[in-house]
Amino acid sequence: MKTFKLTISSPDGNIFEGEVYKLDVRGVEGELAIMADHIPFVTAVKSAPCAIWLDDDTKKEATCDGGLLTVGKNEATFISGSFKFNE
Amino acid sequence: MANTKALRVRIKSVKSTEQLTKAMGLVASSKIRRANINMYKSREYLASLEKSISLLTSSQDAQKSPYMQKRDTSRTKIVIIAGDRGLAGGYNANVFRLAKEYGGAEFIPIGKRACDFYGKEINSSEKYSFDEAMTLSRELCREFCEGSFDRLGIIYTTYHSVMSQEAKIKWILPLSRREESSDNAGMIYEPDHETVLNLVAAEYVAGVITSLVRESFACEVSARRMAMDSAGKNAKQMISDLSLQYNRARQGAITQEITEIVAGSGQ
Repeated sequence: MKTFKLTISSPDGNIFEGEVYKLDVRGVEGELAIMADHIPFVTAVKSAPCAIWLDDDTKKEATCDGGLLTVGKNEATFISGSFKFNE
Repeated sequence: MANTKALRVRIKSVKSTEQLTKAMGLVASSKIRRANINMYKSREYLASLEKSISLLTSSQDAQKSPYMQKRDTSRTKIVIIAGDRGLAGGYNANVFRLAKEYGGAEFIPIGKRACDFYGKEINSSEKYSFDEAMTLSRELCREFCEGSFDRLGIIYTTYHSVMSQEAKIKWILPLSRREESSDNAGMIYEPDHETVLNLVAAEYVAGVITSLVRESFACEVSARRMAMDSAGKNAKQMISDLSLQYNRARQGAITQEITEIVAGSGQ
């Protein structure tokens, strides 16, 4: 499975930094998933549950309080004021 | 001859001051580590935030956004971040000195000292959360877009090291335009550039405020530890000087008494 580098940053530091296979968030225009080799893309994200799939296909669910998602060349940065993984 | 009783009282009072400075120094030391960790974490966040905002502001489309409009800078609002307590050397004084240069501005204080100084509702800089910053930021962004004020700055203290900190001002609104970079080429914005920027502006302001509050708090505890260290040293020096004086006075009194007794017995 092809992966891309994801950085999730919040005021408590970089909460997640690593290779993921897929990222699910709710953008202002609706739900979207980011996978490897996505075109460069920027959107604002709404407060909603979100999820990441690691390269071993494990799914990690989280809750975020809005933010900004920037997708570059096979890397993505998600900046959120509050981001918490569900235990 | 110095009064031995007065000297005893002074020594006692200096000793209790020494204890107080020692305790405050210890409390500050225990907070330094956590404050520094928080500061470095929020610096990471601020760096990502700045990078994304510079990407958003660099394009031509973003110039239409109300957050990018440069206006006459007569009406200024300044968020001022000071400490919760005194006894931190020049930490609070430096912040207020810098604030004096912007006399006509409206100040929004963070930290008990600043709130006291400007007579506003008390809040704590140590426990200032992102949610509080977000509430403040939404309010400020709304007012900025309505045109109630023309520019927004933050007075904070920047951390160089445990020994040196510096009060500074950072202007955040209107957003300044960065040079167009090659990263921007072919970037897709959903729904469009201006909307994304408008949605993210409040988050940016809140992020900057939170990050600078944490940096200022790290400066406060470092400044306090340094101040308390030197106060403790001074107190020790004072106690040793006063003890010497006291012993001399006591010895002088005894010598005088002996002389008097000897002189009396000779008659």
